[in-house]
Amino acid sequence: MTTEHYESVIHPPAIMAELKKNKVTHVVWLPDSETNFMYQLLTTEPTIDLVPVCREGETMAIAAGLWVGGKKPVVLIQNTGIFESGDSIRGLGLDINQPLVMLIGYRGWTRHGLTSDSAARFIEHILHAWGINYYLIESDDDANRISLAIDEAYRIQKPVAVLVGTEFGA
Amino acid sequence: MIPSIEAVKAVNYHRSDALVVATSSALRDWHQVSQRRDLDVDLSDCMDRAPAVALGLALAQPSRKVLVLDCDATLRTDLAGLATVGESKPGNLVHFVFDDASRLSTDGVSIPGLDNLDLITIAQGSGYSKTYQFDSLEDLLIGLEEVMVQTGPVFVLVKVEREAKAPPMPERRMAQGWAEVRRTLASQS
Repeated sequence: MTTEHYESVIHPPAIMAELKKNKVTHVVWLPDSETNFMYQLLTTEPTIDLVPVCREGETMAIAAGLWVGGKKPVVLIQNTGIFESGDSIRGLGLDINQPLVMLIGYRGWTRHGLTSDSAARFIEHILHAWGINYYLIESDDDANRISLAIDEAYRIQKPVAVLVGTEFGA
Repeated sequence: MIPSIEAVKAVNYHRSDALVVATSSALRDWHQVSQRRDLDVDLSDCMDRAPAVALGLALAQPSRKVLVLDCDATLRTDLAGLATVGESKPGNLVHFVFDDASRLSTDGVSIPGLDNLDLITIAQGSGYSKTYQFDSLEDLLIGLEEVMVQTGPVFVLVKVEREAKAPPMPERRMAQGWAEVRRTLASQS
């Protein structure tokens, strides 16, 4: 019997390569410990500006302003922040036809056993309720799904989510 | 106290080709006087997000002034947004807050804590580079000359009184208006 090894970690360079390939100009994000490695890499990238916020609901609004102004932002927050951001996603994502790509930390996600964290149990249901499509990424091999999400968001002129189901590795 | 419609007329006089993000009661007044609706980003929904939308615009269009026409009641629902603006320090952003002493936006109902907030001090402590307060129309008209040449983010508190019967919101839908502004900016880039 063989045991398949599945590396459940994603490295920031894999994400960065996707953002650069798609000419993303800004990452609007709420600083947290989960995205520390991503932050360190983003601060060294001259073609992408970081816009830090105090509360997740601001990210969609800032992204909306950037988009109207001709830029190509993405949002980087945790699933808990999506629950806080409902009105912004509705009014400043869906209703104004913003091609908003949201990279969402999938806190509590596991392929094994019980999912005890309600942040994980509810997030996909919430996205379904809004009619927002999403892609799951769990390793560097999945990173090209970010391109799928960006292509889709600009094709349908609506928000699309990328659920990051693993930790960022060093 | 300044009639709110006169306050936005004063802003309009000094506007030039600035982008304007107007929300709530300020939007009701603003769309009546604006002569550049192709540069107006209306927030007839998600009204507390005007500073955040304006921050995005200011970062995207650094060579153009961005004016936020905000209200005391909407700002109070997301005071942390001041710190977000202060952190990014957009030099081209001017944040007007029309402080409605008559509380007509809530039909005269007092809003918890609002009278206790010192918005000027909060803005200063959040990283705004300059703050102003105007209580008379004459001071506002004169003072805006200085306000508009400051390096931002600038915070301007304007004490206003509103008409008993609120003007209507614009007929233009948000999505339609935002698309128009986006087209205008794209055509000028």
